Amino acid sequence: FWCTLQLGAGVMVLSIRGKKTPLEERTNRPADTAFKQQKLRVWRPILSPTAAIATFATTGLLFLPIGLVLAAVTNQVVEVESINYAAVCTTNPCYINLTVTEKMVAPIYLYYKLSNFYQNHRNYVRDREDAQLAGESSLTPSALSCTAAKTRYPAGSAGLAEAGWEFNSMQNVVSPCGLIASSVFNDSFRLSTAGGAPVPISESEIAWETDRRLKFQNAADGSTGRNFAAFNYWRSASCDDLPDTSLRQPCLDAADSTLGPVGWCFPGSGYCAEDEHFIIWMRTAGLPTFRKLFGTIAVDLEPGVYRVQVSNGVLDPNTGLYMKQDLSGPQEDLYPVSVFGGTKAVVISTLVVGLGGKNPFLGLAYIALGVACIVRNPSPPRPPTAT
Amino acid sequence: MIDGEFVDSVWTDVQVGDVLKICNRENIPADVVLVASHEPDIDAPRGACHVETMQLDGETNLKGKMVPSVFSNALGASLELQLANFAKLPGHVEVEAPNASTNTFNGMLHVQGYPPAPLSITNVLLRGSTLRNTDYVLGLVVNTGRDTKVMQGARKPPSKESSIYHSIQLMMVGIVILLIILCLAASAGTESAYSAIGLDSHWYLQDGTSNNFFLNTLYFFTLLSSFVSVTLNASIALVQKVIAQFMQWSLDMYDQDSDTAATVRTASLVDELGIITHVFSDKTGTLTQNVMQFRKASINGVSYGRGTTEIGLARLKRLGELPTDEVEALEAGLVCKAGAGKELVNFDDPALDEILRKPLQVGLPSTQEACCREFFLHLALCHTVVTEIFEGKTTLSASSPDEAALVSAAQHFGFEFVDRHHDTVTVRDTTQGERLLRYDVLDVLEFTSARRRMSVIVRNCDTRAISLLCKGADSVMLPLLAPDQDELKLRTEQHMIDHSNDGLRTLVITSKELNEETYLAWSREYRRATSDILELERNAREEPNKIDQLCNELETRLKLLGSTALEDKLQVGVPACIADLVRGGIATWVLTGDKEETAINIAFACQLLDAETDLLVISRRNHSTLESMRAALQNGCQTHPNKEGARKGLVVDGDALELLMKTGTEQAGAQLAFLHYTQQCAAVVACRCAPTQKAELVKLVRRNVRGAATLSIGDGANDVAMIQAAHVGVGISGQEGMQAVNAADFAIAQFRFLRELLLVHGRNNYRRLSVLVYYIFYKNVMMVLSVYWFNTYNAFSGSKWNLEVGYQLYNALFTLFPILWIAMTDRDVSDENSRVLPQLYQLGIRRHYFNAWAATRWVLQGIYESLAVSFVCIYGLLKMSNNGEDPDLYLIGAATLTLAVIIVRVFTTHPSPCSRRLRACHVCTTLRPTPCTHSRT
Repeated sequence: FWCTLQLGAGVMVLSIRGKKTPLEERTNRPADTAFKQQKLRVWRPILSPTAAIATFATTGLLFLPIGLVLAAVTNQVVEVESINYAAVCTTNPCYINLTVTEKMVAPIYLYYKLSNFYQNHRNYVRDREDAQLAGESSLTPSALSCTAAKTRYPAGSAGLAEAGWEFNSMQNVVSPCGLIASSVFNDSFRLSTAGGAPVPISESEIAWETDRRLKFQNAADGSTGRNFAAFNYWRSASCDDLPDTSLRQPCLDAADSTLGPVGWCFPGSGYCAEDEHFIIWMRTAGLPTFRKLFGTIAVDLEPGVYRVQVSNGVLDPNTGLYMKQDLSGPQEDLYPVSVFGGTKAVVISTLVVGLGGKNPFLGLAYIALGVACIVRNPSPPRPPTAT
Repeated sequence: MIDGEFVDSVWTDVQVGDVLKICNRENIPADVVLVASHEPDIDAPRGACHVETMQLDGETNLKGKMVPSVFSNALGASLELQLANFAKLPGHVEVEAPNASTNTFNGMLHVQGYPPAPLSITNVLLRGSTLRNTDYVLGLVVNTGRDTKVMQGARKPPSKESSIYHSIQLMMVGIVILLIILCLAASAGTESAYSAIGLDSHWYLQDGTSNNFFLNTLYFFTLLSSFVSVTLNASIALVQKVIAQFMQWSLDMYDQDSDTAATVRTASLVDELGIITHVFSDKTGTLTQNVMQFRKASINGVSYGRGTTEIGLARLKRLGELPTDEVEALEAGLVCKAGAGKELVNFDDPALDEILRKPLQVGLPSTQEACCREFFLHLALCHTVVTEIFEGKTTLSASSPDEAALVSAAQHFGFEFVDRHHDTVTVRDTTQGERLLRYDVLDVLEFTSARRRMSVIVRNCDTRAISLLCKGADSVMLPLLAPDQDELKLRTEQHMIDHSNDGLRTLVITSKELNEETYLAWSREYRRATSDILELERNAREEPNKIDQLCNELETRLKLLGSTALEDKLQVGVPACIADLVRGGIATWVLTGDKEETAINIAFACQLLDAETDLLVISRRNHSTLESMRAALQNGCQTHPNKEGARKGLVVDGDALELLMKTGTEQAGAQLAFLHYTQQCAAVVACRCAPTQKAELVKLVRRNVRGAATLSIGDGANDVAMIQAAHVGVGISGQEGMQAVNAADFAIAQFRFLRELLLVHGRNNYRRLSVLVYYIFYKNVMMVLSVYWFNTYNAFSGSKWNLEVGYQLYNALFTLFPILWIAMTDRDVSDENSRVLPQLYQLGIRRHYFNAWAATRWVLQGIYESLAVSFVCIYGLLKMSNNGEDPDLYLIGAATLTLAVIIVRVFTTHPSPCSRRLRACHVCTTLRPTPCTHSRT
């Protein structure tokens, strides 16, 4: 090796000979800078056996405990899932049991879980109009990017003529439009102990803060909820019935709309497009089986059997019956999933702060990697065989 | 000439029909028919002139041209007469259609009052040649510009593209096929989703559109189209440009003597430099400096001349007979003496000077002194050199650099060749005082490659003694020596072996006294033979003939004077460079217009051939038919070298090549045998090659040897065809003439920079570009496929889980710049290691970094990583969204994209998916520094 090196040096010495251009005339000489000569400082990591073994060992010894801690912490999460109540519920409301075997410490989260529901289907995901959801005014059907459920009446239908509407008018628009909005999940849940004592569920501040603040607003022109069945009750409700009395005046201010009574669907009401269950639904799930937050429970749950009341529709305080959204009659069915083979369930769970629910993946991944690093640690190389 | 007056004119203004006056050492600006030439002797006009055609065909000797006899008879000898008479001659010239053949010319000269006279190539000066040894010529322009033969021969430069582009296209096809398969699979998936999942019953999905297999396929096609990156070609071009700039900036390829840096003229070929299998090199001006130096001599059994040569030094090192410090001392001495530069005599031995220059003593000179004087007198007489007066100085004009060196040596030692006039040679003897010696040259028995010797018969004008002076190659000269000088012969032979080992070219110097009667008798016979046209023709065809027979008769029983040793000065660092190329697995071919002996000598000097090489010589002389050529080649293929480690070598001459290169079924067999043999050869030397033959050879290899990547290197116009024919053309710049450089893809100032160009830059570039291409494919495959796998979770609906902007930024911003920078600057081993381990270059020749398997590996790597990323994101994020929800679509998408970017960028620091083989290869090459045999057929 050194011989060759010296030969190289020799060749370089030999090259300085012959007819020489004087130094000052060598105008074509490339500049001898680190950049141009590619002599910038470099880091050339050499995977020597020592370095490799040390790296693997360190990684393994670091990851294994982290994984064990994560697995242990995740394991402390208490999660209770009900049966598929779509299979058992024939009435509205319907009651199912949740059996808590370990004490659950607040905050406790209550989810509904759907399966075989393709919220991630291309046709479904794209079928929404964000501008409309964000409360932009005067979005006529032609301005909407939805494919389905855009207008109350199709072009040329008898209904359109009867109502005396233009097809592409704000009267005819469906707000919010699209498949996602129109299939909004509308079962609701009440929790009580076996003895019948209600367990309060908070349904506020469950959606993303940015979604609530920026992306979902009732439109100022009163179009939100127009021709949209799921918001019928709110849109036709009286301002006097608003639970939050401070909102009654804004409600009254917004009530006079060219698009008919606005009801509670005015900007800032917290209902209609601003309803947090609606907002959560509109954030489409990535997988066909998913759980979405329904509410939070602020009290500890002792082990025992709890009753969940599943209902659909609007509770008529006078009759105690669950009515259709337009109060035209009793709502008989829950949210339909059995027709396409889907399931519904209620889940309550505690969480680990910062890590979420009961998913052992992260802990197992760390453990697996740690073990792999230690087991697959490269052995020291064999000495080269003489040739 | 305009209206009888000569005006200075630029060559663009020259038109057909003009009469030009071209002065000595001027370039001929157009193809012209000779009209008149300067007559040194007004009384005996000869109508002759000399041209040098190096720029045309690479041959360095002077060629004679003749004024057509019509003109030489009619015009007279002085310029005034010639002009006046020419103006009075009405007539016209008929010439052939413009063509590229530089060896033939057909035309007819019609002059009123004379019968039509044919014109041949000897009457024509071609553009590109240089007038030599003649004060002026008058010429009639017959072809200009593109019609000239040199321009007809220069073809339009073919557009070249790197083989990596070709591979990319293949890869594209593969990728598109994969793409189509994936799209069809996905569409089939959509169909099955409709039946298996029953999507029709999913009421929330019904938007009025219907499922269409064809449209779904198209949709997936657009979704996966990023498989083929839009940035690929632009990235490659950009990286190549930047790399080219770095190459031009390289100080390692800057020649400070000529103040020339490397030039990259075709940036798209920078990576092709890393896979070169065959280097075709011109000889003159490329391997050698075309300077012959007188270095040593053996006179009367005494060796003169000290020091060694680069080649000798290399040999000493190889043999390891000398301690290192002595070799180093010799090396240092070599460097000091190298200052001799381009002098024709580079001789260092005071002993000889002492003998020759000691003051005249009373009495007879010693034997040794007499021998030395005779020796150098011989050198001053036995040659065909003519004097040439140029810019007031007398210079020697020799047909070969050997003769120039020998005559200069004679002058150096006090026997100056003054003049040759009317067959009388004047030599000025300055050894003891100054006196002029005159000799009549009675006959010149010329050098031919068959005789391999030349003789002159001279008569001393003072003593009237006749002597035969003969010099030639040892193999033919030694048997011709007179007996009873065995001891001297043995000693001289030993010296010649020593000289040969130093890479010097030796000539045996002999003489013989002739008595008047013998000579006259012989002379009569000789005159008769040389005036016999039949014998002359036979002689020209190198068939047995009377002339040769007579020469042989006279050249016997010669007295051995000694031997000379000339060094054909190689360009600096050529042997080391070639040795490294061989170790790098590159076959080197020397293609030259020179004669066989010269070519072989140079091959030896460059260490392409050595004493152990099994050399096969194919020439028209020893193989007159195609069949015998084929048989010899096939036989050569089957024989194994008798010695362990001995290599095979091939020498082929232009005539043999001409026979071989013709198209035809018969030729095909011989060509195949030729290629088979050459692929086993460590070195191939082709001599007496015309420029087109050089190109033909390159094309033959290029077309027929699988995986061949050819590189041609040359400096002259005669190399242009070869440079254009090869995959990569390299021109030697900074010397005379820019034709080669203008036709080339790369220009370097010295042959030795080829090592830097190939082993360092080429190797790096090829690896960098390979990594760039694969990486761009890999990162896109990974990204796109991660979306694809997601579709198995959304009923193959074609859903994306990230926004379009993330998709596009991934390609153009997040992952592109790191790899571009790496592709511009990365090196796997230091430049120093690339130089000392040329074996690393073989990885390129074996297409280690860029082949179908590597491509598959990268794609598989992308597939594997996309699977890992997708499924980690799908399962790892369950219940881990805000408030323990399952993650929404865009959360998974964002996580996938982030992971993909991180993995893809971490991967840039370790860009080969399979490093194990590489490592093994490194070890193998480190442990085994012997050159790997280059045996692909």
